[in-house]
Amino acid sequence: MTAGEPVRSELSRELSLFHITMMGLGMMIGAGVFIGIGISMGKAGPGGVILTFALNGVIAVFTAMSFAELSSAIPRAGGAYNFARIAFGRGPSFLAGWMEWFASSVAGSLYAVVFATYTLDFVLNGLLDLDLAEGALRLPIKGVAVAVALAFLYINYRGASETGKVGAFFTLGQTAFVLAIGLVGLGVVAWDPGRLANFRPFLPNGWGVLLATMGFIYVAFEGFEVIAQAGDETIDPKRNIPKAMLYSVLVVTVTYVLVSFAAVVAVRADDPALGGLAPWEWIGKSGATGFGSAVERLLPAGMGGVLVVLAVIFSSTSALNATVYSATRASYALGRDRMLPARFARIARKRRTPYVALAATGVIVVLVAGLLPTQDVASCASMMFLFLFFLVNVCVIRVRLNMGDELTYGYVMPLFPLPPILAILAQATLAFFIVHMSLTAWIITPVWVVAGLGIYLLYSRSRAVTTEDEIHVLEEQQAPPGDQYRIMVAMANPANAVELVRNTYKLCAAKDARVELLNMVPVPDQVPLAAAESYKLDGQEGIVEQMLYLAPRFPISSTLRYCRNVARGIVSAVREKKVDLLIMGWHGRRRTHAFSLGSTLDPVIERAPCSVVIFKDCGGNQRFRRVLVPLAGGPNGAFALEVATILAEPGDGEVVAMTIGSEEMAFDLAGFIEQNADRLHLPRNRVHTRTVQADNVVDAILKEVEQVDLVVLGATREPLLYHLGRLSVPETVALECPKPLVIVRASGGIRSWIKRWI
Amino acid sequence: MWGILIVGLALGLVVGLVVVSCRRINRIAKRGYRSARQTIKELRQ
Repeated sequence: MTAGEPVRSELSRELSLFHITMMGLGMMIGAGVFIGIGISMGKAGPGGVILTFALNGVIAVFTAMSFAELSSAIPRAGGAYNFARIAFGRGPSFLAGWMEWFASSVAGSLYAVVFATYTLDFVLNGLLDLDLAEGALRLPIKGVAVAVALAFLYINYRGASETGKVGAFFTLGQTAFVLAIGLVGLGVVAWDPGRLANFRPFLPNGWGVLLATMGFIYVAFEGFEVIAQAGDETIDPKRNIPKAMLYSVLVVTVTYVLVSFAAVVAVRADDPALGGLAPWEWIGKSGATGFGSAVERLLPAGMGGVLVVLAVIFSSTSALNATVYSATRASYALGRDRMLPARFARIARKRRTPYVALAATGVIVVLVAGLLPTQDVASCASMMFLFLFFLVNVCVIRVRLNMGDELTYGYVMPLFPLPPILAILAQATLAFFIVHMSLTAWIITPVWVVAGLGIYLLYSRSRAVTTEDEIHVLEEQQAPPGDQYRIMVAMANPANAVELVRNTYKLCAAKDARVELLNMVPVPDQVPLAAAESYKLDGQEGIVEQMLYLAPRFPISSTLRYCRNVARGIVSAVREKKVDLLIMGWHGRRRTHAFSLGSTLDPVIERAPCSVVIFKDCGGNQRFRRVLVPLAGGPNGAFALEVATILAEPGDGEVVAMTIGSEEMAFDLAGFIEQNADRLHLPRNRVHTRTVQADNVVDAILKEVEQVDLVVLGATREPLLYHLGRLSVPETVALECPKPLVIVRASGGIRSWIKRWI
Repeated sequence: MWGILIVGLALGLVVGLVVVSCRRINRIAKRGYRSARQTIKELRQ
């Protein structure tokens, strides 16, 4: 692209197969399994609970195949709302969005209730030994559930829901823990095969009751569909999204079957606490906390209770957070497309989150969590997801038959159309049988669907906007060809634009480089990246200013990228565009002690596969006549020296290479400069050396800083664990340096994850 | 006994479908993305 063309928008693809699989698992292994095991065992018996999970797994894998096929054919549109739009048009699409909103909100209520149930039971009955009956806990549980829901609504409003890679590792730990419980169950049976007698009678209440428990517990298999929403952000989405959906359903099905097996064999039939009941009856009697009571007896020394509560806290809070923004996203999309009043798409000016959609979601979450009993909340969520998945299974048949020749597929399911037809029949049957678990759910859920139909016919049909707005796909720009040296200027704050660009000019001239201007625009999770156009104005202004300055001299490409996390977005852009040098700005402060320079700079310095130069306070018309480069033989020293000579005023500017040490132990500066002079084109007459004797390195450097116009520092390369809780010398100098500062890191191969940490 | 057999069959079906599906996804990615009809034709070859 030439300088005359407008700024282009593109998507930041940062999520790998691992991340999106974990995203699905994090949503699925939430509350359903924890409350479902106890309640289902009480209804269907010890064999019934295992059959419930195994057979639901089959229905879930059929549905996952439908989602996978649709997502592979329409990877960027994501979600039931857009699948229905393509398959059937606006009416069913509204209904899908409407159901998705309610289903996710009620799932959020369920997670809040489960959190409250397990933590209160653990604290009051476990730690304080009050031995309160379920009835006495009902009111406090509702209170805590509402409080937790409100807390997470506020967190979503603050826009701090993004958990990124840390979230993926939490999910991995949570899944591993639940799976470990299942494996302990197998181990216990191998040690004491007599416990298999707990499975007699296998199905005490017959096969019929299975349909009711399967429908009730179906919410435990929802969550893989959120992977479709990440289509915009996933690397190789046609391949990875379908795989992630199928993997996550496979992992949860096996995990659930194992963990329900472990729950059945956890309690010995001769345990005096059972009071004459069979183990399955005793677990079933505990209802929602039955799983916790069983696992308490599976692991020794009271570990079970603590671990289950920890697992519930982690899984239900992360799932609650995710469902709240998933629900907000659904109602935001309806507002954006004018199917609900436009105010649903309003974005808060400061927080940049869709606050009206969030507030409306909050009302549903709080009302359902506060007013309905746990079993009804779970049944409501399950029933709505059954309806939603029913619709998607119909969509996959329709899309394949009508548009199979037009769309390009990354996956076509085997045995089509048998799996979606079987899933449709099964889902309709399960939704019907939920009446045996909760009459309330059977009334509320159809009423919501009928109300949706009414709203569509009376309001939305005449107001909805055109298709182009509903399914917005942003274009991607390919990296320009050629092997010229590439410099990327990345900025998240447009106010830095001019400061960055002046210094970039000198570096570009020295390297005869091609320039890639990149503006990262962070978009909150509640807003799909494809709908983030309203966030780009500020970024565009910054880029235009930079283009005006650099365009006459250098070939320029400029890009605007929407991202969830600025650091990840920059690293992925550097990788994609094969950049040699990355330039960024720094405000000079750190907001939290968890980072050395900042939450964006630290990961970029650590991971960018190229050289990095960071400017602080280098703006204005400053001339750098005397530039200080502290050296100690580190890997970035030569690059720091090269950057210093480029930035020093041409003609009379001088570079002072400084080292600190005793007479015997000083770093050989003169030898180092001589060794690198030819390779880096260092002007020998302008580079001076200085060795200072001092005990405190930081103080000595800061004293020298007073006599110079600019300091160029090499970034630290110490492992992350090494400077946990303390700063390295370059970082301390950087934070305390009162003069303009440049921090550099030379490209030096990508170190392994383990090496980086230890 | 019937119960255990059904659980085994269900798990086998889930594992089987996921394995077959993932192999398909890899094969399709290798051959390039086409329409559904064309993809099915190529998978048969």
